[in-house]
Amino acid sequence: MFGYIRACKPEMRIKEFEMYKAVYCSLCKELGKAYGPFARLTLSYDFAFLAILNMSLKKDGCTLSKKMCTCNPLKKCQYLDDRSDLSMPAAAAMIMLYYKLLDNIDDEKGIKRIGYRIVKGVYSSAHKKAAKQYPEIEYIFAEYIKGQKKLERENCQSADAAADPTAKALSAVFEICSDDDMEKRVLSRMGYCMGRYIYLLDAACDLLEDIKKDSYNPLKSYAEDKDYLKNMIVPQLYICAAEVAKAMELLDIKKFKNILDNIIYLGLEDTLKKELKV
Amino acid sequence: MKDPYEILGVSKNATDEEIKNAYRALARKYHPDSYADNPLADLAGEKMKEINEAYDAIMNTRKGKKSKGGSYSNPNSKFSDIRELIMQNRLDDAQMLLDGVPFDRRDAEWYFLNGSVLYKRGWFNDAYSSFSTAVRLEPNNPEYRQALANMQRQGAGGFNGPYRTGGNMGGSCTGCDVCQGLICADCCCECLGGDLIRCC
Repeated sequence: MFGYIRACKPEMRIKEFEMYKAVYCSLCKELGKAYGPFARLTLSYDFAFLAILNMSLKKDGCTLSKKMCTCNPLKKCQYLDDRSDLSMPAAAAMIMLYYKLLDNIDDEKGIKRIGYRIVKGVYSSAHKKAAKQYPEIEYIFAEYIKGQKKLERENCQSADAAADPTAKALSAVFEICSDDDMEKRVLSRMGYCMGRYIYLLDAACDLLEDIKKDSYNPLKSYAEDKDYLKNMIVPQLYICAAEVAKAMELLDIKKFKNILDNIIYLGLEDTLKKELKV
Repeated sequence: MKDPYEILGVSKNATDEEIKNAYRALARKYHPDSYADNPLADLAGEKMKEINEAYDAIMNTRKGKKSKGGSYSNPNSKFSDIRELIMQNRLDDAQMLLDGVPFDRRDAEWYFLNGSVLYKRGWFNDAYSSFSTAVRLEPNNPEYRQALANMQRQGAGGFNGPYRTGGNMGGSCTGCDVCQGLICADCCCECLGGDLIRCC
């Protein structure tokens, strides 16, 4: 379910791409520093987007410095001088990873299950630290997993109901980016529609394999229409993307507007076309 | 009020035409029709008001464009109480009242209002089904057709953003254009007996 929120690189200005990459690299550094070297494995552009959104609503400046790469000593990367706004996205990434591991432990059997259990042990103290610092995020993901498991148990075949737990989780996480009530409303809507986009796109990508393996997928009933991609899934994803954009236009964005515009207006469409090969 | 030129995103030296174009682009983006059935419609309405006031302040002679405010009010409605709740974004209460209507009294308007609640919740798939049913039951109703048409338009993709993709960014003349122009001018000149560029 990761890697769907990304920029459309060919359409980015070089300075925007450098900033985008700098946020990604700084998040890597922050994860390593706060939660240990293995936490860097949870790094993705999705959380870089969350970091950019979080920073875009704050007025303070954003300077970069070139330093040695944390993973490759032969490389130099640009890093943010002030990483304080990355603390929340890093914690979210860490907590999300932990709950995904728990989910995998439940779903898998045999040696894979043992493997996930070992990995869970490795991340246990990092997760505790993140949960202590951001108990609201811990609560959000715990509720999300509960909701997700319930609809899988019931074999929910409504796309809207199935997407709801993910959408609600992202909605709540986005709200954390602001203390202003009006902004929270907008972020809530933006997060809901983005969470829905992620869930439905992921379900659509996994559909054929889930049918083969007889695994849960909420879109199985829609696949009876052989043009289901064109008739239902693609329009639904476009509607989600349009609603994310509409919400974003109501935010008072202080910086990174061009990067956000690229991700929302170009990236979301680009990704769905690439992933669904439409 | 913030600087009206800043609100419209134009410089103080912008021509009337540039200001009008900027106003039109913003009005298209924040128009109530774009935010119909959206829980953030009131915020978009405020933004629209700000843009209108800025335009008025600059132009000084035109009347501001009146915002429709995404109204659900309809004097002929049997469900005016539900419409009121939807306008106030009290979706749970509206849903409760909708669910309370017995099946044999669920007409086109019921499906339209049900669709509106679902759309505001973000349940776009069920919202689309509900709007489709409303239009099927009452094909000539403009309110229901508009709701369905909005969803179909959005579902077809290509939602317009401000991000400029490729093409000439702001400039319309590259070095190649200049040379091409000069060579053409030189040829024309030579045809008429002169010589613009002596070495060509």
